[in-house]
Amino acid sequence: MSHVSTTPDDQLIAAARSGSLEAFGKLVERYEGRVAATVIGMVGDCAEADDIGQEVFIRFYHAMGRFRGESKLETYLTRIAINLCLNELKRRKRHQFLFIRSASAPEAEASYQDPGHNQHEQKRIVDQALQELKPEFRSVIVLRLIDGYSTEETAHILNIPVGTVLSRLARAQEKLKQHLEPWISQIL
Amino acid sequence: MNDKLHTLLIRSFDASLDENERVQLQHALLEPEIRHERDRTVLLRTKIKETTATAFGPFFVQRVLQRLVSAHEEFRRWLLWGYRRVALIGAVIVLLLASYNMSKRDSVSLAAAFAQPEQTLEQVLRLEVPFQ
Repeated sequence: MSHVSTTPDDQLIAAARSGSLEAFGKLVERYEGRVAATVIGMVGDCAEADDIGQEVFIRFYHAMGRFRGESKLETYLTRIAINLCLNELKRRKRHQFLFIRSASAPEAEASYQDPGHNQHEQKRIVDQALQELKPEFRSVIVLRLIDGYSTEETAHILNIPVGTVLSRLARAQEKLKQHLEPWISQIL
Repeated sequence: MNDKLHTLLIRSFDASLDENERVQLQHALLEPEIRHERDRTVLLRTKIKETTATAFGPFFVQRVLQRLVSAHEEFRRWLLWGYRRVALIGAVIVLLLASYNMSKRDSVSLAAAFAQPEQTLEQVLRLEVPFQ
């Protein structure tokens, strides 16, 4: 496991603003996990996820001068990540509409296999179920259940009312339960 | 299962319930069906959290830093390219103007190239003391 610096964020940001790439690298190292959870949860484990992850930090690097620390850096990065992911999902939808419209889209069937104790297989099944959700439902699941933000923080990041977060969470969980029913029933 | 109780159960995971709702849910949880639903929800939420990716591919930090360095390098190259073009075009314009000036005066000299008036020392001195 790599050693992550214990220097406070504001000191690293100040150093990075002065041109220290080493300090910026430490920030990237510190928040890679959080950004990865958000991005991979939103767009799936694919090549685009890595590109979006890089773009999150590049955008932050260029916006560092404007970052006043009013929100936590983690929240700031998550907001950039969510916006980039929503753009990517829109792009995919447009692409799908333009190029795969005539082709019969494969039915969103869960290719369920017994995941057993195989962590990789479990991950694939959950990932697939998440990808079946519409972006607005997926984003609340990712922020609330994966990133662990409170309902209020989720509402703040997505700029929607708390009530909307709660109703989307309830509907999203219902859809996930339907999708993962064979697996859940087997475990319980 | 009662829709209202189901909604209450699901909401209890993400929002604080008032006293009345809490009591209502406590009573409802005595029913096996509600307990089963609670267990399904807990399991779902746990599994989603457990299977979360926590890193991008190897050397992610290095790739981000490399992109930043490349972007700086790209900008520097772009500036250099722009500067060279401007310098070259400027030099060509100066040469054209100099050629035009020399051809107009029919003389090949620096003064002709830069269109300086050709004056003798006497003319200059006369200009310096016009009222004598």
